[in-house]
Amino acid sequence: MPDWLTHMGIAYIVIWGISKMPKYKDSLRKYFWIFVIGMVAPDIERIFKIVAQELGNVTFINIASNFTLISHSILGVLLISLFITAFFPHEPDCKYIFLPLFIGGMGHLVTDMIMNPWQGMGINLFYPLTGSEFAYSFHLVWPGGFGPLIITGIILLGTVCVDLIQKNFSVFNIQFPKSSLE
Amino acid sequence: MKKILRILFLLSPLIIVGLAYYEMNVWHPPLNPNIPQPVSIETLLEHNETYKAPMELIITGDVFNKSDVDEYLFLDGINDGYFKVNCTGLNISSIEPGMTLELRGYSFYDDPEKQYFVAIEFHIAISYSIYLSIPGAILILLILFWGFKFQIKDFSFSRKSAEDEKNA
Repeated sequence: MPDWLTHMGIAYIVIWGISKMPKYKDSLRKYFWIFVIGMVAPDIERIFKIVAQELGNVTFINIASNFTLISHSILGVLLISLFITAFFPHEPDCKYIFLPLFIGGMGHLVTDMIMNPWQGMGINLFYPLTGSEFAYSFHLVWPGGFGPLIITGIILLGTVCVDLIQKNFSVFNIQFPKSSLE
Repeated sequence: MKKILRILFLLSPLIIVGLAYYEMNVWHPPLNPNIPQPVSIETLLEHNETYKAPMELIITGDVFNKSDVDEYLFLDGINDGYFKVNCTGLNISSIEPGMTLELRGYSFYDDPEKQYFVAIEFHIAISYSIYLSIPGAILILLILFWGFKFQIKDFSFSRKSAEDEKNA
């Protein structure tokens, strides 16, 4: 699976594209960042995995490994999104937190599907309704390497160049007056 | 958000943990033996009759040692034992003990005279993703605590600061 940095980079590229649309409203900016968190959320299991490996408990390690299988499914994304939504109780309408998290989580699954899957498995989107025979991936890159990060980094650099040319960092709502750059 | 709803949301990952625990204790025979089967070494050894050749398998394991003639690899097995892999025809000179490998091949562990796994393809898994996730995690914390004024104290967005921002 790509690392968190790659997932965040891809999420940034998506929100950058949205921020360039004519109908884009600046009030959406807050939810962009929740989308970024949602894009990383299914990999929350890495924290459990590191803890399990440090403890060296085999049962714990096995549960953490299976957690990956489940968190990388529609059900897993749904549950993790609900979990994170609970951290924002003062939000007037929690669906505005839940939806960007869920869409980001689904984006995460699509990103993971480009890879040659770890342990031969793909992403089992419909777990537990389907078994491992329905797991699928596009087998484009090996996980764990720098390839996806480098590609994402190049595209991200391209977005920064476009913003510099336009003198408008739309994602951050920063517009440079012409005189400050000249 | 209602308190009861919030508690239910906070407990929702327990469903994932429950399913993960269930998955740990069940074994399903392959439904479609014609496609390569991902299987753990432990399961393969326990059900060697089911996973015997010509079923193509995909296994992952850590290299414990390799033979001097570079034909056999020994992966960490179960109960302090090892898992023997026949790599005839493959160039495994780049493989060193301690590496994690993903192997494709066929199991002959059901045959008392062979007792090995024949590899037809291998991939050395070098994963930087955990290390690359650390800067990602730092960025997320920055977004939460600096960008969103997230406060541990109230376990939520600060309503006051959100209103201030709106008024500004």
